[in-house]
Amino acid sequence: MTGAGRETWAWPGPEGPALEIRGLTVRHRGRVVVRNLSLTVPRGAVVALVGPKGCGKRILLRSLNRMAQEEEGVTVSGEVLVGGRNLLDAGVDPAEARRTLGLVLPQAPPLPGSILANLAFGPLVHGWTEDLDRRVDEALKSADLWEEFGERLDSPAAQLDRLGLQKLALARALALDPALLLLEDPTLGLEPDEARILEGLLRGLVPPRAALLATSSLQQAARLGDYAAFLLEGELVEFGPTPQVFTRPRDARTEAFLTGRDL
Amino acid sequence: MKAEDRTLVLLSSAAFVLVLVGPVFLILDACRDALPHLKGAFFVEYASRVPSRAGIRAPLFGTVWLLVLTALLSVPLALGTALWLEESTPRRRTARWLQGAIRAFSGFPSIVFGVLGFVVFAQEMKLGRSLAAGVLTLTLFVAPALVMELQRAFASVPPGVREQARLLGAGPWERVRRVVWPLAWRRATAAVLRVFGRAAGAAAPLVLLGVLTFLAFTPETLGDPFTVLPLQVFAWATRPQDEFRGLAAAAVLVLMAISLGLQALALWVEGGEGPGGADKARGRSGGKERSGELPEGRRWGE
Repeated sequence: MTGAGRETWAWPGPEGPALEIRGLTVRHRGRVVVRNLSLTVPRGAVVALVGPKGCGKRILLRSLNRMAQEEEGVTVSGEVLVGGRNLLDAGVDPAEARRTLGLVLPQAPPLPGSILANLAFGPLVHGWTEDLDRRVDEALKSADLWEEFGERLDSPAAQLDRLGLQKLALARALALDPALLLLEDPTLGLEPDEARILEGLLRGLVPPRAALLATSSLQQAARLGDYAAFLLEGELVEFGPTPQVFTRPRDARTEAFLTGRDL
Repeated sequence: MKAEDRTLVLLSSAAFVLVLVGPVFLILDACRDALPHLKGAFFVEYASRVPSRAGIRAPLFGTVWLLVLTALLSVPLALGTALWLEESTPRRRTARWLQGAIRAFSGFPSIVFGVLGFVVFAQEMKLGRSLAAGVLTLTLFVAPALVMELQRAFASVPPGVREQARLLGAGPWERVRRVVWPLAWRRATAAVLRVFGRAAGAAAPLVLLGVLTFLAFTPETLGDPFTVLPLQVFAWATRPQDEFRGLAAAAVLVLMAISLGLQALALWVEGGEGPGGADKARGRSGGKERSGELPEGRRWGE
């Protein structure tokens, strides 16, 4: 949350993956909910996480940017590497972990105040005041809110419809220039046509970043994911290019899940 | 309509009418006794042995001073405690323990605070019957209720909104300043007004301090003796002469006006423009939509 944070800011280097998770284990009240998970998100790619309810997708995303660690009884070990830096390191400010990995939650409620207040929130919290206008404008444009709201940034954010609110949540994350987007069921609760619009938006803005998408929709995983990862009871069962995982899964459990059989 | 439905409607409306009739009758009765006394002089005169010359200047000033000073002391304390309880993430166990203690305190009979105030402030700290002793005692009395009401106000901010703020890197201070306070200040202010509306009439915590009821001056410093309206009412009502009962009724009306005034102010503040965006925000994150139909998220083969 420091103003000096920008000097330590690092996009992942020109080479190497956008995000590398090494040996991540998450415990919740002593129970292992993510077990020794290692996963690499290539630059510019979307990795879709799928798995049954309770497989650990949600807490995995939240422990990457150190949100889960603030909940009672959650401990996390392992490494989350972005540009060679381990975001789980005690020396890294959780606020920095959160702006590096921008998490977008399902049905994200607006912050109080106007659309502008929503977009400026992150930069202001981080003390980035000098290029605030540029950041806000860019976030608005990339989240496709510019045409509709560029002229009325003062209108209350609570007036937006569900799609608008979800775009706004995306724009709030983008205003902090994240290296990677963590998307948790971003289209949950949207009508199919709205979901389609949001997916199109996401597809357009992920490169040059990358995204880790946890979704309960297999169709969405197939549409958006360059890679797919199947998670079961906290364990990474299978990981590979989406077409391969979806059509020729190597593990019997993946196939059982994809075809809707009992696991 | 079925017979049992009719009975229920009948019984509940009867109960409602009874609950309403009692207070209305009492107020009308008090008005009848009080009206002859409610003149300008009543508000500016001090207590007197002669009923026609007695007024409520001392207890009125005392009550106002007491409430204002107690608010200045207790509101910051309660605000800090409530924010700590609602907004701090670590030390949940300590918070839960403290929470239980506060709930227990707020359930204590008010006379207990009177005893505490008498022993600690009046005797140990040698503050006697001074305004300072009254302020400290009343602070003890209102603090638990104040903390709980303020907490309720802050708890009305949907957790999802706080989470959004945390996601953008906001720590507790930024969260309170930019999210919780803008959404909860109306409710919080109303909570404070409501608690003090109730405290205005509280006599029990002060009666043991030995607050005097025959004062011919208003308090100028914290060390001065003082009196308050409820105790003045008690003193007048227990006099044998009928005129003093009229005075008591008049003072009761003034007390009720203060209390109702604060409650009305609370309603006005809270109602203003609705409680900020809190309700709208809650509507957005409400469970109904969340558990509603998944648009297309069906598993294959289901």
